[in-house]
Amino acid sequence: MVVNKAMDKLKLEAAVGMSRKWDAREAGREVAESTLSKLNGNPNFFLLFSTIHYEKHGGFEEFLKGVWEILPESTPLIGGSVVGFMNNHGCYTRGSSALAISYPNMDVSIGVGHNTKRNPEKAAMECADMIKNDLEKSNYSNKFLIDITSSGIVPNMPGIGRKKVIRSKFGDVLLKTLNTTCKRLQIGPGREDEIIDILSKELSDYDIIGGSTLDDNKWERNFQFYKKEVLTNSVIALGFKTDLNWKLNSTFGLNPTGIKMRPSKTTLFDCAIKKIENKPAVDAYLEKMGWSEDLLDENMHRRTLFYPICYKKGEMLCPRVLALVIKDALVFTNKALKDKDMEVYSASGSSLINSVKQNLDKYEKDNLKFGFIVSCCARLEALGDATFKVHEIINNYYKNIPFLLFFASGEDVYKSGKTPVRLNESFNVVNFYLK
Amino acid sequence: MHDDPIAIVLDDLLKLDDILACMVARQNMISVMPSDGNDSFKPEINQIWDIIHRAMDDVFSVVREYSQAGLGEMEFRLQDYEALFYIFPDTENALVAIVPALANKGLIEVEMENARREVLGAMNEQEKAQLSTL
Repeated sequence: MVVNKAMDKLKLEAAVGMSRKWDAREAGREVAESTLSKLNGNPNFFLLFSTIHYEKHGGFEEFLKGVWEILPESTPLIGGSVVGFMNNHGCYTRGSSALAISYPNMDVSIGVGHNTKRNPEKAAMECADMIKNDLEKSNYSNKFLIDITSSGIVPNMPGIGRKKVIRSKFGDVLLKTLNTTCKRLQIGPGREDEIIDILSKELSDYDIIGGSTLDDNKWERNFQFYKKEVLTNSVIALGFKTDLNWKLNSTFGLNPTGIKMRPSKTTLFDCAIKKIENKPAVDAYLEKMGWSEDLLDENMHRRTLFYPICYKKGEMLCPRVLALVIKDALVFTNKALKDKDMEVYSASGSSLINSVKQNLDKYEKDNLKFGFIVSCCARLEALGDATFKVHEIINNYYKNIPFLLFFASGEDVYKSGKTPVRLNESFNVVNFYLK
Repeated sequence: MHDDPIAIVLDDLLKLDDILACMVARQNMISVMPSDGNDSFKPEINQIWDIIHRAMDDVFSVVREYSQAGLGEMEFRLQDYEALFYIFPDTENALVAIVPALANKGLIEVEMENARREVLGAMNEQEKAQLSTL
């Protein structure tokens, strides 16, 4: 038996492929071909990420059709539209990439839950139940989950469009309306905090990494891939039980500034801070930052990438990046904290880049088989082409070991027994080992 | 023109929504345009093209002066547009793109850098081919 097990262990294969073709069908075929050509066995699962561009170049249905022309029937497939990705070949904000694993000592299941903005709890429960039931009889003891959720959508308002700063009186009406339209029309916050809370509760003995799908950072639409389906407003997950080991680590590159603020009134599922220490939130924020009102322009989002407002949940830092200013409210993509101190942290290009090295330095490389990384799209937007420096660090670390990084619009991390966290501006690595 | 690998790189860039125009250029000279020339530029660029083109030429005098010193990138904003210059090392040439001022520039920069690398690769190939015919 021991001999057989050792032989099995030799059979782990990991592969990363990609396509830069424009035509959706051809790109689907190529990303699958380039991935599977590196495997001898059938894939246990296929993780697929694509930028939004295929929507206008044939559509995501065609893209998936291309993939399934190559991918063996019934391979568990999940994925979605992302801001960008990195792999052993480079760093891209256009194209598609996939990670596939072939390994005998692994049982795999995928799950889905719908209408995440309307009822995130129900969606997460549905998704978790599918995986829990499917893997119940597996004898492997190590449990891992990758979750992919639908991110928030910035509302397109008649006469206003998709502005990031709305200081007029109309803002108050809009904020009230958003509370209801979010549920009815599924526009507004993605409510991913609630999803990771349920997933980690239902699958408490799993370690989890994940993130949200998006478009090209315009926050207008996003798609999830589940088997042969292209979905919206859904949570999908890939769970597996195995004898593989892994290590999961998050870093930020953020430094505390000492500027603290205590939100006293929140709304929009706690994603919008209406008051800070009982003053209108925007005025209080500008005062604490020492900024003038004219900094609140359409470039404000890009500026505040370097000043996220953070709180601690358990041992983890939870940064929040300012998404919108609506009248007196600061609107974030994920939950803020009411009646507890939040602190402004600062980032610089070099601190963001150094945090990647700090993260990877924590890992041993012996028996490392493949890596999966979820990084925030805010880091990509903040670093621009300096992201290639990040790629250089990562590539030097993995060398010929396959890795895939996707840029998410918010990241999920849960280590079994610890507090689940929804993060922004984070860099999260999970490395898988055969030991 | 349709077979020029550098033009193909430019064609790819121009397919991105926020790239309104792109070219490989030097002072007073556009060396390579996308396959369909400036017909493939997004129509909104027409209203500002003349003034941007003039401003570009002025920027190229800086490129010429400092390229050898390691100048890698430049950009300027004119009205609601930005011009991004990705300079080819030790040359007076740059890959230039015009984008809306409010575009998500971080994402565009990644594809600009990919394009610069591809153009450099194509230039090196062309140079090798020329040398082999000597």
